[in-house]
Formats: sequence, structure tokens, C-alpha cells
Amino acid sequence: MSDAAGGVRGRDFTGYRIAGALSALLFLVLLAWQIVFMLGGGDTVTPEVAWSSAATEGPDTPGARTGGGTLVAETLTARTRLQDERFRTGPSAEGDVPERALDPGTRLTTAPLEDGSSLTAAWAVPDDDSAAMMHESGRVEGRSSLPYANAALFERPFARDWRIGMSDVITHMGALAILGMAFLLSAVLALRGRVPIRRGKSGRTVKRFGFLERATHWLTAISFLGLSFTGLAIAYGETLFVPLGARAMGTLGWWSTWGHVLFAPTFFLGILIMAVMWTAKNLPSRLDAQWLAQGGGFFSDDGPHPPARKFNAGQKLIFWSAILGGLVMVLTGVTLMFPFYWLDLGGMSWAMLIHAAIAVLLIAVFLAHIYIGSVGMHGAVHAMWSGRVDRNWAAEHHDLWLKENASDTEGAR
Amino acid sequence: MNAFLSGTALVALGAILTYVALISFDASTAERFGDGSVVLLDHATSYESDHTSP
Amino acid sequence: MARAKFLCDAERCIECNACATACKNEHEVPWGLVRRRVVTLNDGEPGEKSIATSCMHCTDAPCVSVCPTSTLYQTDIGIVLHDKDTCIGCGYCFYACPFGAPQFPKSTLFGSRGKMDKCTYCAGGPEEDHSEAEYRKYGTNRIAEGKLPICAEVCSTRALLAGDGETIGEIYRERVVHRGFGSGAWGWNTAYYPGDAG
Ligand code: HEM
Repeated sequence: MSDAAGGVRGRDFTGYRIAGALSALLFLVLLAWQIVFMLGGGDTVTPEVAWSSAATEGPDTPGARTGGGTLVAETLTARTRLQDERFRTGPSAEGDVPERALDPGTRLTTAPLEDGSSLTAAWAVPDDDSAAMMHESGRVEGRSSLPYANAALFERPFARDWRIGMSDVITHMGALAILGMAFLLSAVLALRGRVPIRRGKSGRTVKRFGFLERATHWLTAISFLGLSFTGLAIAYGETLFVPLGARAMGTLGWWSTWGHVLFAPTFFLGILIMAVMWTAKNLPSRLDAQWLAQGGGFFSDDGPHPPARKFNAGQKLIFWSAILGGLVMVLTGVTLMFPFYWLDLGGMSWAMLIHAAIAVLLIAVFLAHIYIGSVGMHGAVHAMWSGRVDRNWAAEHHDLWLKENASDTEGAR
Repeated sequence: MNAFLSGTALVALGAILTYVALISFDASTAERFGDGSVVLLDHATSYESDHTSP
Repeated sequence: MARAKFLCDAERCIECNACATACKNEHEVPWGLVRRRVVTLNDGEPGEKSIATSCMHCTDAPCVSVCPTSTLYQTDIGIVLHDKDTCIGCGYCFYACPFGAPQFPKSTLFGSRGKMDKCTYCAGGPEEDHSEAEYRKYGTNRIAEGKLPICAEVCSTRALLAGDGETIGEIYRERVVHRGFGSGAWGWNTAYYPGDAG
């Protein structure tokens, strides 16, 4: 290529590269924090509140809160003893009431607890007597006189696995995928700059997307962003809103749960129209293998971009993620909105896990799409904004498409 | 630009319609069993409602 | 240190539903919600058993773990409580609970589920003890008075035991030895000994 040496290079976008470097640094820090948090065993639930006993004289006495946990334990254990055999604790006359069990002056209060991890560790290990008397763990369903769905289910150990899937796996993997993708994209911007138009802008444009195509794209995109932000707020609200305090977290979370579902119908409509408009042009072809083998020419300015028609292999992957991933999201999401209509609790649990897992993956994937569609590639955004792209951009990225359309665009402008 | 605004407007419209639909189909758990299998008395159906004593 | 637990002696429970009724009444639990219920196994067949169940106040409680807004929290005697002011009604706890404890006042999921309600072990919520706000959102706070959950304390056959886990375990074991049979502490493995289960 004659213009391999000259021409516009990605490295020349200095401002973008500095911004990319700063953003890479930021995401690297967040990524490190997430990894430390994940490996730090922050997933075991530990008590956060401690009971203490305000003395019998009244809660106002200074220093009355001494006894603390021991007094609480003694009081409650004495009270527990009341449920022992009647000949021992009454109501028969011979039974003697355990001391402190019926003290009317008892006042127990709560205060925050610094570190309860040792408690959880101690609770989790049964002593020999308890171990011997336990009924084994297993799914148990019986009958109930209540009309509620699920009232007859006594025990469902799968819920513990669900929790591991949700809070120990998907939440962490999602954070890693999203932050990791953000870091990689920033790093690419910092190191290689934007994907340039090697021959510069020609000043002559060619029509790429019609009004319906663009309106549908933005309909889907805005809906997707709405779903993503509210969804992330629900899933990671505790982490994201911590600086704002518990109340604000509750309020924002409440709006998010309400808001989340509001974007779903337009998202569904969007992917349906997209599927109708674009499926034919997104079927796999032999060109795709070549395109993928060359990495789409994304990482280097040298050499020609692999040939492509209207959509290259990367775009086809994006398209199919939107359509197939979107359908899974809509299907699971609607299922979750109407509990017990067609799935039982087990099915709904899986729907929820799939919904969450696919959601974080899609967000990571579309982060990459948004990047390439905006800052990542010089000249790309016009395709969706005005519908017209520069001829040189088209020639470099979609040469075959440009040739096919050359006849009807040559004369225009 | 116009396409973007049209898309955004449609999303907003969809959100409002969905909200209205949600509100109108909003049923309390007690009412959901309103087929006669549960007798509903004049009693609050939610901790959120401002119920004075029944 | 006491560890609060529930134990239902399935050989003694006669499905009278007094626990469920007393609970409803004590806390003025609204229509459509039940904090305690009775499940009957092998109904009408030999070996029929009934078990009263509610939130078990688990160790390493899955509901607390999955809650995205830290609405749920645990106290140092094991009681799992919730803060209705921060609950967003997402329903995660509902899927994570092995015992079907979390209840919602509305019947659809996102947006319109309402704030979660569940057994508080008669320990109220984060509001000031015995305040009007606490009563309206969570019901009475018996633990603050040194009393145990009403469901267990009203149980006429003393099938449902509440209080310090070690003590109710002793009571139960002594009973089993005395009468010569017992099907064990139902749900304990899943609820209290997570590493041990499975
Ligand atoms: C908000 C930021 C976004 C920007 C700046 C953006 C930009 C673009 C651009 C410029 C194109 C045309 C590429 C070309 O000329 O060939 C495009 C195509 C497309 N966009 Fe987006 N987009 C955004 C968000 C989204 C989202 C959230 C979705 C997913 C629901 C999406 C789905 C698609 C699909 C399926 C295509 C066609 C296939 C492709 O070109 O990859 N876009 N987008």
C-alpha cells in the first residue's frame, strides 16, 4: 500500500489518547478494587447489629448497659427454658420458673456491631448433639391450607445454590466483565488512538442508513441504556450508592425497579424491527472468516482493512448479540414480571440467574460497540447520526458495499 | 439527529404507556385471590397503606 | 452467647395453626401476607406430619447476601431483620430463601411488588423500639422485652420451640429419648449449617 507510510494515523489523535490513558488508569484501579473485594471473602454474611441489656432499673441509668451480650443470652435462655417439660417449668405448681425468665423490667436494645465474622464462623459448625438430631437437607413439599402459590413448599436447599450463583458468581463476574472491558477499550484508545480514516475525509458523503434504520437503532439503543442503568442500579446499588447513604440508596433503587420495566417494551419493539430490517444482511458469509482472522484491522493502521459488505463480521456479532441476547432478556424478564404464571419457583430462579448473567455480558459487549461507534473510530458515528458517511471511510471499512452502491450514489452530492 | 430524537421520543412514550399499564394492573397479593377462595374483609392489604386500626 | 433458632417437633405439631393465627394477630399482618404457616407432609396417609415454618433466621443467610440494597441484616443472636425504608421490592431474597419466607404485598415483580415482609422473630425493625413506626411496619417487638416469638410461646403442644438453639436442642433431644422416636430437626441443616448441607 502506497499510503501505509503516509496518511492519517491513529497515534495522531493525541487528545483522545491522553483521555484514554486516564480512563484506563481509573478502570485499572476499579478493577483492582473489585478483585481485592472478591478475594477478600466479603460474601459471607456476618451480623451487623448487637443486642445488649439495659439494666432492670431502667434504661436511663448510666453504665447500665454493661452486662451486654451475656445478660442478653442469660435472659433469652431462661425464657427458652419455659418451653421445657411442664413438670419442670410450669404451669404446674411444682415447676420453678427459671430466674429472669419472667422479669417485667427486662429491656433489650440494639447497637451496631463492628465485626461479627467470628459469630458466623462459630454458628456454621454444629456440635455433635445437634449434628446427630438434624433431619437431612432436601427439598420437602407438602400441603398447605393457604391459597398462596408456594405455601406448601417447606424447604428448598437449591435456594442456597441460587444465592451462590447470584452473589458469589454473577455479581463478581459481571463487575469483572464490565470493568475489564472498559479498561481494555481505554487501553486500546491510549495505545493505538482512534481508528483513523487513512486517506482523510474526502468531503464527499454516501448514504448509509435510512431514517427508519436510524430511528430504530436509537429506539433500541436508548431503551437498552435505560434498562442497563436501572438494572445495574438494582444489581449493584449497594456498592454504587453507598456514598449517598442508605435512604438515598433505597429511593434510587425504588425508582430503578420501577423504571427498569418501563424501557422493556420499546426495547422489544426495537429488536423486532432490527431483526426484520437487518437479518438478511447479517447472515454469515465466507468473508467473515477472513475478517475475523485479521482482527478486522482494528489494532493496526498498517495494511488494508479486510473486505466487507454492508456489515462486517464484528458488526454481525453485535447484531446477533442484540437480537438473540435481547430475546433471552425479554423472555426471562417478562417471566419474572408475572411470577408463577407459567413457571414454578425453580424455573423462575433459573430465569432470574439467566437474566442477570446475560445482562452483564450484553452490557460488556455493547460497551465495546458504543466505543467503536463513537470515539473508537473516526467518522463512524455519522452513519447513525445523519445517515451519511464519508466516501473514504466507506471505502476503507466497507469496500464491497461501497462498490455495490457506487452506481446510485455517484451522482449524489 | 431527527432519527435520534424520534427514537428517544418513542422510548419516552413507551415508558409512559407502560407505567400507566402497570398502575392499572397493579393488584395486591390478597386481591389476586379475589376469586372467592379468600374472603376479603375491610382491612388494609399492605403495610404501606396508612391504616388506622381496622 | 445465645443463638436464636426455631425448631418444630414434627411429631408434636397437630396443625392447629395457632402459631400462624397468633402471629397474624400480634403483628397485624395485612391480608395477603403470612409470616408463619403450617405445611403438612403426606396428608391423609400413614406417617402424616405437620411442620410450622417461617423465616428460620439462617446462618450466612442467603437473603442478606443477595439483597442489593442491604435492606436485610442480621443481629448477633442470629435474628435476620429488614428495613422497609430501603427495600426496593426486587425479589432477590424471595429466590434466595430456602423456606419461602419473604412475602410481598403486590403480586407482580418489578415495579409493583411492594416492600418485602417476613418474620422478624418478634424483634421489630430498625426503628426505635416500641415506637408507632416500628409497630406499623414490623409489628410488635417482644425480644426487646426479653420475650420470645409469640408463635412458639402460644404453641399448646410445645411442638414449636423458639429461643436459644442449644437449649431448644436439649429440650428436643430429651423428648426424643424419652418417647423413643423423632424425625429430627427439620430444616436445620439447610438453615443453620450451610457448609454442612448438601
Ligand atoms: C449510545 C451509544 C451508541 C452509539 C454511539 C452507537 C453507534 C452506532 C453506529 C455508528 C452504528 C453504525 C455502524 C456502521 O456504520 O456500520 C451502529 C450500529 C448498530 N448499533 Fe449502535 N450505537 C450505540 C448504542 C447501541 C446499543 C445500546 C445497541 C444495542 C441494543 C446498538 C445496536 C446496534 C446494532 C445492532 C447495529 C448494527 C450492527 C452494527 O453496525 O454493529 N447500538 N451503532
